[in-house]
Amino acid sequence: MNSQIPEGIQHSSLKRTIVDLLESIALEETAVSSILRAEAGKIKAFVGKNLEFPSNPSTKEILLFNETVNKMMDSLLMTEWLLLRKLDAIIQIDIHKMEQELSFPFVEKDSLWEDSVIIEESSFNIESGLEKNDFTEKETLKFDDGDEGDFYW
Amino acid sequence: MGMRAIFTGNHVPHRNQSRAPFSESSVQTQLAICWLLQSINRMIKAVSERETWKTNQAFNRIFEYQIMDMISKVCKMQKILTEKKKRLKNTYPDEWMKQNEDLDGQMRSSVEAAISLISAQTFKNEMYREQIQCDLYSIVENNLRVDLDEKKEETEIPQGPIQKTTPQNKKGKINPPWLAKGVFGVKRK
Repeated sequence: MNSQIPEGIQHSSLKRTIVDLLESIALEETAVSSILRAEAGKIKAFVGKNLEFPSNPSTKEILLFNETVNKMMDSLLMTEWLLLRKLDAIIQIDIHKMEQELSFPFVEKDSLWEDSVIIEESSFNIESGLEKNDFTEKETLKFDDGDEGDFYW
Repeated sequence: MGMRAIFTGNHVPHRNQSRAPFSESSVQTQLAICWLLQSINRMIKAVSERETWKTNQAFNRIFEYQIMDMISKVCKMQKILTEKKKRLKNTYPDEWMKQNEDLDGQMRSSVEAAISLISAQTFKNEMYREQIQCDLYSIVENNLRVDLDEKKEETEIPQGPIQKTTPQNKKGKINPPWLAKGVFGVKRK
């Protein structure tokens, strides 16, 4: 079976995605509230308008009925709990930070070069304790913009 | 639909809804919890009026346990709903909608009705009765208000000897503060 991305509006913005996720929680909560309301209606119908129990149930049947209500409430409570956890996860998404990270240029030639120099120098002095002279081979690389860099092997 | 529209509803109606999703869902859930509690109240009332209530002790005990279980779940649901509102309010303070006072009032009156039903005359088991009352008081005192932390700062309890001022019950145990205060802060007789 081929799995396909469902057709629909494709959202590119992170903020828009968060709004959609929040909306999904709201919609699911509305669904849960409908089931809760139905459960309340079920109890009301079972008890009757004048509290006379129209179906004339036995004591055992009343207890069984309560058991079903309890089970349903338990499931709905779990759903509510999961929705809260989902909300927690969404809230923790730092929109501004993520947007900054996503819009930041992935690799810049100059910064790459500077970073590599820093790493090389720190590894010489602290971790390996080697000096530049300890390396036997040296290679000078030229970049497109005319900049040069020495590499030691 | 923007972030604000999710909360406040200042937008074009969405999927035939007259309100924004979050505004709609929190109102609907609060109403549903309230109706559920009212239905449980009706059930207690109806069962306590039956003849078997006075004679069948085994039935009473199981029924009381089941009601305790149901009210505990109602309390937890209310707690989750309020927690959700609190988090949304803290994260998106500008978009947050105001607390619905009418709904809160309706919930309070349902809790009050439940408290009056769960008395020593109806519920024989002291442990179950106390647990139910504890849950019910907790709904109105802690789990109904979204702005609980702000209110706490306003009415800070003065430090001092707790045991002297806290009322005690017949067995000499110190009652929790909610028992002394009553539901709305009015001292009970």
